Amino acid sequence: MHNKTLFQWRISWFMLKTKEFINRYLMGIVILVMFLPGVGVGENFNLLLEFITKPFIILSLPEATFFTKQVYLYCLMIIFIVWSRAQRLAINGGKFTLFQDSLPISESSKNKTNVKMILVSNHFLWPIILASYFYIPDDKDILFLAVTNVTFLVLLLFVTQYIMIFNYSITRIGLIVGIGMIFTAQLSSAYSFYQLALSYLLLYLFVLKFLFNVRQSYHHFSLKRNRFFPSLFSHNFYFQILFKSGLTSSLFRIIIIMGIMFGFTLSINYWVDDYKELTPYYIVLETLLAYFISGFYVSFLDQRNTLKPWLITLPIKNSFWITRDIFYIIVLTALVHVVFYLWAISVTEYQTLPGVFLYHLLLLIICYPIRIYVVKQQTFITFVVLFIITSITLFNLT
Amino acid sequence: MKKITINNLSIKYDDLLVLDQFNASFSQGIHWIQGLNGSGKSSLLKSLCGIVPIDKDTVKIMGFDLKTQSIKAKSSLCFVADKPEVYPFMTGLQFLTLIAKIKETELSEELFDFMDSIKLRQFNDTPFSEMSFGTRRKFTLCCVFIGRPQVILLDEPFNGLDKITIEKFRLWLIQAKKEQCVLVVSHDTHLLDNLYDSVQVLD
Repeated sequence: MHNKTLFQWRISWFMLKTKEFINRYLMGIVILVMFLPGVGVGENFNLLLEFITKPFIILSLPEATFFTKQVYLYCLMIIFIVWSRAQRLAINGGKFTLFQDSLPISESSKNKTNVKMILVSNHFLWPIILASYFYIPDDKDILFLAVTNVTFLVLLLFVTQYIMIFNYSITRIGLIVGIGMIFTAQLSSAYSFYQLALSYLLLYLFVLKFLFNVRQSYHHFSLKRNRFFPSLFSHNFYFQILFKSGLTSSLFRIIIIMGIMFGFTLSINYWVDDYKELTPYYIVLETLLAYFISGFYVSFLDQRNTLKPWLITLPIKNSFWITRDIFYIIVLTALVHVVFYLWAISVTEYQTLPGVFLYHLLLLIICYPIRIYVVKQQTFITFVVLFIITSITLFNLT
Repeated sequence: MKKITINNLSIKYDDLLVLDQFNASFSQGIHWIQGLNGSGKSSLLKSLCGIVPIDKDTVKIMGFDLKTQSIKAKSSLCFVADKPEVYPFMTGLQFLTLIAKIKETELSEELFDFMDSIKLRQFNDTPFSEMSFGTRRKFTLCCVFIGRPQVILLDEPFNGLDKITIEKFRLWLIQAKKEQCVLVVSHDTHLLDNLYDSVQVLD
């Protein structure tokens, strides 16, 4: 009990943070689970697994086009980065690791612990990774090459996560990814791998340097600044707080939503014959979108509440916040949902009745203030679950 | 013997230069680091223990370069931060045992005596999340008794401590300064009066 190793303490910390993460996104998980009946988990499990493992296999097949490979590579990279980003605090050990730096622990020992944490943290991806080996085509000519490429791809994704979390220098990233890609290109004799390596690097650097704004090593408290929005909205106090409250987590949400939309598009191309069947699932997806977007406002309100003791000393009326809250939430939210609706029409080629769209848009907009102002998330969960069940039943009946 | 040697140490965060070509050396005794807020006092301590990255040949602890011989250098030092950052589920005793294990030593009688004198042992099995700020600070302060470090870096050591603990710790400092090198960052002028051997002012 008293003789736990540093790795065991890191695992305890990881479990604590994972528990918090699950509690935080419980609502999202509940909504996602509602997708499952649509993909026939019971009867088509094999089909589902093959679908999930497809990105790994496509990349290793010589016959796949460069464009397809590129799309799948980006998808995998985004999934791995977003996952590790969401779990970053859990994986890196939190602020205790700063104190740990003052203790006589060798760099290799720290690195070993970090690598183990990366492997542990991908727990939900491991079954998919391992399953992907079973779906490699049984062709003697490409088997060795495909297994090597899948293995290298998995390693590359782990390395990306490692660098992302433990702030390795950009030069080292370039070296590792570059050497790795050249190695694979030699094996596969495919010119497109060079191009893939280059595009992967460019996208990675973009994500790392600009979107997530990863800091190198230790940084001073006074340097916690936001590089984008304050300058953009430097004359608007409300916007400054709105975007400063969680640019990173907002981007994280946007990437998740884009991932879900992409997954939705792939799923319907794979499974759905009649687009009319989609309506309930479209509504589930829209609710998921609402959940993530409203999370942005929740973190905004949290942030504002931390400033409350200071804000109440300013000569600003209460109505200043209320009118702006209502205005921006309705305008921004409605805009997002209209864009989503147009996207759904263009992707699925099906038309929901504008009246139905307006009806559930109205319901969703009611959800936002409930989630934002009623702090107890359970109330929101109950409300939305009831809403989804009603919608599905309603559309199934009609 | 010089226990800490600092040669041309510069600390820079992005565009902000906190310390520029700083030089100093410290032997045994209590050395008080003074300066205005934001002058780099805490950053200096953090760079002397390896939390803030430094260049090669800029800091030597007991003759060992902190960058290239970090294990040997860090074996001789103890850093107590102004805010205790410990896993919330870890108990006080588990924390001290972990530090002792990393330093390849045992918890000493001297440590337990000190804990008894400030009535800390009753919190041995209490998780940090359930402790008050002062109790958490006392446990992190107890690290100075583990492995008899030759260099001790204390960032605002008296913050959050009760009167008895401050008095006991002051008594311990008087003993420690005969052999050990203690660098203290503190704004509590009256608590360090008649205690320090030298003052280093950062501007």
